[in-house]
Amino acid sequence: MPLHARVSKHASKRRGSRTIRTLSLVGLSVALQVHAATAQTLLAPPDTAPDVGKYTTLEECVAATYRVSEQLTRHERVGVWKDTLSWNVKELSTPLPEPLITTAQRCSARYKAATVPLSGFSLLLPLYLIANRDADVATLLSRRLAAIASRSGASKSGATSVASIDGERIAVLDSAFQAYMQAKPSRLPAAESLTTAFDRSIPRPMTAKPAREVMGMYLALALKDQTLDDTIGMRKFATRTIALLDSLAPAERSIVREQMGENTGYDLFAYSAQIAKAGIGVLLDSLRASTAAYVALQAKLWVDATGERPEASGFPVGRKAPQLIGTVSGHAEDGGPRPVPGKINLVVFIDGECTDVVIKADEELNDPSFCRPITSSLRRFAARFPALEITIVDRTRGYFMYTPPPTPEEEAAYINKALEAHDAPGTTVVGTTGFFRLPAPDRRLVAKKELPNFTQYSFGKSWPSGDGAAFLIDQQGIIILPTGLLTRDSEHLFVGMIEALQARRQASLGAGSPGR
Amino acid sequence: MSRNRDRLVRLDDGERILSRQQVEAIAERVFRLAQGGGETRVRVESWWQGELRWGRNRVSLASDRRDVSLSVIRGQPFGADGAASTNQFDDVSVEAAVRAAERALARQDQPPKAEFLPQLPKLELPQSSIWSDATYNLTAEARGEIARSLVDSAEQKGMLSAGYTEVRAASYAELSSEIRAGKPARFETPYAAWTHAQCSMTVRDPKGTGSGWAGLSSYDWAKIDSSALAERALDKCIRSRNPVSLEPGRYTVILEPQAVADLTEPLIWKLDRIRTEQGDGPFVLAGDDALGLVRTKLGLKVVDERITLSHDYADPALGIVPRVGMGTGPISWIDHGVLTAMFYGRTYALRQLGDNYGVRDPTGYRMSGGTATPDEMIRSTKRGLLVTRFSNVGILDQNSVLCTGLTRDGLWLIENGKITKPVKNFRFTESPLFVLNNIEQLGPPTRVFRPTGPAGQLTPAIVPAIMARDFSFTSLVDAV
Repeated sequence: MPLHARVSKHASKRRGSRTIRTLSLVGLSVALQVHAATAQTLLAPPDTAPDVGKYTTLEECVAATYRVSEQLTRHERVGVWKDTLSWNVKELSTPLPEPLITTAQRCSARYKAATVPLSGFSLLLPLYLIANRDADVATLLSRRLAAIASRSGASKSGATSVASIDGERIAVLDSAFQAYMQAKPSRLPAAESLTTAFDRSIPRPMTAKPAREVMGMYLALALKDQTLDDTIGMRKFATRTIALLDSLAPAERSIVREQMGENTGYDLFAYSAQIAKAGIGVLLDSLRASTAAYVALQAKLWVDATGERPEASGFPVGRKAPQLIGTVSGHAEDGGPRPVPGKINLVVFIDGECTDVVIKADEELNDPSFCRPITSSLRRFAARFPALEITIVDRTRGYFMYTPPPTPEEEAAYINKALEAHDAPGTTVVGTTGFFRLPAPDRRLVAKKELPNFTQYSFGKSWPSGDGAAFLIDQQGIIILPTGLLTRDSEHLFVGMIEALQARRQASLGAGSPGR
Repeated sequence: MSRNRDRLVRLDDGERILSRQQVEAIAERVFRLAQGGGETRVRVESWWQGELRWGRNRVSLASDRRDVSLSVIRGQPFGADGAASTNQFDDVSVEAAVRAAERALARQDQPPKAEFLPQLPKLELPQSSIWSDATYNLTAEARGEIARSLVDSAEQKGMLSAGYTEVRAASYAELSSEIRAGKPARFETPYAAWTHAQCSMTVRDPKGTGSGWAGLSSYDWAKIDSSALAERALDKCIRSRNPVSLEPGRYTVILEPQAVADLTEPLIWKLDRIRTEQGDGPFVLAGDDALGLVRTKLGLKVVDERITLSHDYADPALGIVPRVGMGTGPISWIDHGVLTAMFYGRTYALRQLGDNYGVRDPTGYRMSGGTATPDEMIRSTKRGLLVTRFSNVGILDQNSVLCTGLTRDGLWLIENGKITKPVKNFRFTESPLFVLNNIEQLGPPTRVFRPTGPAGQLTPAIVPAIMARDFSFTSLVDAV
């Protein structure tokens, strides 16, 4: 993993863990570790020219580069409110800061790809890429693969024998692939070349282990192209993924399914590939036509991908959005139902992270790394779509900060103020959680399992409705796009869907008939 | 106590810790230097320690050390903060620390301002008297004389001794500019100062066949009779020479108070309510699938009904350093054998129980006892072992608190109501819960040597001698 990606991953550890459970319909669950665009800053860049001469080992060299990266990233985090900037595909092609490249180049100069011990393979890959020594990455990779081949193929002459495609080789190729994919600027051509070569080297019929790896690489390339709005690339890689899936013998496919996990991993993988192959544009076109067409297309893609019934997906697409119940405050205190009938609605769930102000042992107000991205996403939506009805859903917990147990109304008022402090737009609905207290001497306050609104929006536990879960709902109250976590990376899909819904409404207004 | 601390002016005048007035003055200086609003927290610590260590009847270490520390924390109440520390209190250093804290703050992710936050419930700081002029005034020369007398007593009998004597004093305060201004903030820890003293001594037979130990700790040096300790260690050494081997197995044991404290130590830290409710430890009853939580043994009998495990700030024999956010009254974790409380913090108390105070951990506890004297216990023992103390006690199984460790510095066989011979040391494998459920007799509670807990804090304890049946010794140990 490149150093800058490690830094970014470290900084957004909590977000990352949530991203795992994000099951966005169109594969947006694959989080992209991206950096903010260079922008105006409040502080001068720090001195980032360490004396690398005193670092004698590879680990020290990597650590020195890491420190420079950390300094720059931290500086960027402080100086740039990157989460107020919408997604920009150019971020992936933005060069790394010069001090970081210089440090990596100076520090890695002593490590010649042709002679360096292979024990440093995993550390050197990202270091070479930061130093823009791409040719050395290829050299090092070749040496590493040759070493494996010479060991495992000692008794066989062919380098592409089944024996040579062992776990170690796959792991090495995966490391190189991940390094290319996470490098900045993006090394997609190198990643594609590596994947294609890997694919061609695998004897047919393909067995489960290499198949799973190469399919994962293709799908990752497809999703990366989706992020880059490269429709052709996305379809190309998605098609290869599906072709490989289809080519598997039933027994091997069963193994792959078992390894990925039947109900989540494999099905979602296949479904994401189908979506990528179809293209986002097709989905948006169907949504512009009607919600019914969109829902039917989603169901068809699911059936095509998994061979299962549409209901088995667990996705609440096409379901009627339950009405939210609780204390309503914010911009629309008219007491009307939410989601608002006849309007496009965005419902976002917040459970604890933003408003539970002493959730952590160190008793900080909250963790901005989680709360701020959501509220800033919502601010961007509000600015771009003034007619969009945004509803933030929270629930009472029986306490607020240090206060003695407040009434639900008091707690709702505190929660609303906490969200106001984040400049969260829209209307807040705070549901009243039912509690009971265990008898003495235990006396614990226990929340009832039925959580207001959260339970209804989990659709029989088939969908996560915790922190950051978001639902785009059309004018008829039908759920169009659910996501387990609203992130900056997934915003553009919501934007596309909202624009499609708005376009349909405008068209229907022009035609004088409803769009559904 | 206050007489000594109040007249402190500057540490470099030869005083040992900072006075309340000095701490307040430092805090005011820091508050004035802060720029840009927000909260300024000032944490001021000072400590002094005099120690003397000897081995093989010769002093190996004699020291007199002290230090001060100022930590400046700048930030928003309940929000991100930046901190910097220094041990220099001149104007330039203090201002540099403030600026460093503000620079650190500027590098943090800033949460939104939250002026709406409610005022915290008031906290009452428990008072305790754990200051001893006898400890504070024990000079290096006096410590040397004490060591000399202790060494002499062993040397005159031809024995080798090793020991350690330590006296400490410390002060701590954490003050908030926001609380001073009547605004919401977490809390302040008002100035508190305390003393601590300890003395322990091991006496060995030069041939390596016998060993005796005695030790005591207290906040008050006047409560430590070093001569009696030396006499006791010497007597144990002489009586433990030339031990015989016994078969490992289950024995009736008479655990001297020090051995009881050594064995109980792992158990008392299991009285953690939050960890227990997460499913860890011996006080978990069962998971409740219907409610989605873990039931505890609160309200259930867990040890012999003669055992009460309690804690009280006001107990002068314990001498406990007060801590903000914990209750002020006495606590019984175990009352007549029934688990009645486990410790937790203030946040848990407010959220889960609607209480303003947490329950303090057993950093300082008293175990109830009985009236049996050691002689009475020995007389009533047909066959058993008398244990001076345990060492290297570690937990083998967290849920049953099954421990293992070694007997040390004196182990004797009791036969037909009399001590008959010294015995080679054993490794034991036993749970303190098992012992506390197999009690035959209890002696009167006695203060024991327990200088520091897991986190280095002072952990006074008062425990009885216990006579218990079926204590499991699992192997012989060659060490004396």
